[in-house]
Amino acid sequence: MSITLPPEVLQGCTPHLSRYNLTVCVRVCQGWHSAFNPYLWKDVVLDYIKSRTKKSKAFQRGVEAGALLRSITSLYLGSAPILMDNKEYDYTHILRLFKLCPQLRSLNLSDDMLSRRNPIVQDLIAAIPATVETLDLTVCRIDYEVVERELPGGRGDTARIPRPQPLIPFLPRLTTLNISKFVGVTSSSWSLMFKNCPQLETLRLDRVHLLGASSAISLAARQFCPRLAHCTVYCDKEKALMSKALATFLTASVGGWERIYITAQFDYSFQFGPDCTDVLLRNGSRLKSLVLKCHITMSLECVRKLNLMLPNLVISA
Amino acid sequence: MSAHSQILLTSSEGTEFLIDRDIADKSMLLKCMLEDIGEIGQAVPLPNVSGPILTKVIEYCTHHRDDPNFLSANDDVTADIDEWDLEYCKVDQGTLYELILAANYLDIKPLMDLTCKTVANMIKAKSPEEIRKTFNITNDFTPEEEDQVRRENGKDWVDEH
Repeated sequence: MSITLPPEVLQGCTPHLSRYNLTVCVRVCQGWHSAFNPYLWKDVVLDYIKSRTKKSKAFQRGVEAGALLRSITSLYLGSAPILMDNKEYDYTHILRLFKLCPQLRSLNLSDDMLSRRNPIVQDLIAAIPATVETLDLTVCRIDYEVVERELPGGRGDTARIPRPQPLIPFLPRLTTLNISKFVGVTSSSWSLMFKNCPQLETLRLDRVHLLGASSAISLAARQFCPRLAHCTVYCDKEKALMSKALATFLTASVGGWERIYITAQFDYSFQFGPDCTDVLLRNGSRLKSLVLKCHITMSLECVRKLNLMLPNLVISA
Repeated sequence: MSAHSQILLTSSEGTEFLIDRDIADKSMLLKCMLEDIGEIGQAVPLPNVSGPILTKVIEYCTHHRDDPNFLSANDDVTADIDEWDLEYCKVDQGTLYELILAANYLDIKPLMDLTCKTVANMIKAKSPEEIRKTFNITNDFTPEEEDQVRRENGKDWVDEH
């Protein structure tokens, strides 16, 4: 007796199967192949650090098997191999990969992908598909194009001025942006970045220096991202200035914050000051959750004020 | 609407089943239908479900009648199947598939999860050939296709985890 299970039923089994199980399932027969394949290729992690040559060959094959990639919705691109078969790694594979993933919603670009070893880093960034809703960028050290400009005075003196590059292309659907370990981002770059993601709701900054950037970030976010309501921020070492920088950052949400998560290095202690509290009191009617990690504390006075004005707020440490 | 009201269901062969309203409510299909149109006093026809399968489904819903976590119990896909449920699923494959189809049609998520998990456990730790044997499936790949699918899904490309 042969009973064939309809595809809906086979697909019902997918939450209970591992990725490895799925690779076996697609090899059973045509019917199982078409039922399981979309699930197998939903989330793809490409990280070459462990076994570079082997993985990158496999990756190339994966790109060549383009048809398989059409259903990818989530893609993690980690360390690219610097050397592949003793040749320079061809980053244009990644550009091809983007074109092959019309349903991509979540993208994580890390390490080498965004380093200056990648000769086409700007092309790569420009090629991020417009379908992306969640974007993670880690360790971004993008070198700015340097332009020489004549200094006023007419004596022919020139200065080298960095020309900021947009850190993301226009992403009309982007709602969540996670940025880690950014180095040397100028205020005009922040502005260009937020201009390109008008639907942004969640912003997570991890080991991004807030000092010197907080006013640029909050100004740009207020101007371009009216839906911003969730944030994670990371405190710098300069404790004396941190409270003010944080207070400035917290003015970034036009509609008011819903969730705020403040974190720092594990041994860091810092007090969430009255200036920060005041910002929340002015613009916090929607605030539901405030989380202070590590040794970040808040004076009892501030807690009492916040609880009085915002009865729905949950403060946790 | 009293909690003790009863609903009449008709299986594909026309057999009638009289069940309590709270049992019927375990099926989202019936629940929504009854909420929308009220109790019509007539039998609800279920042309996609046979009598023996409907008996099995009612047995499941009756056992879990007072389960407060009925809708959320199976959210954790890694959770083990409890003893009664395990015993319940010891049926032949044909019955198991029909149960999945019935759970899908009647929209009873916990039963759908349970039966799918049972099928998933039959798939796990098997080679493609063993799966074909278990489910009585004919390999309809051409040798070239089979070779390509194997290459695309080799272990060097997808880690086991």
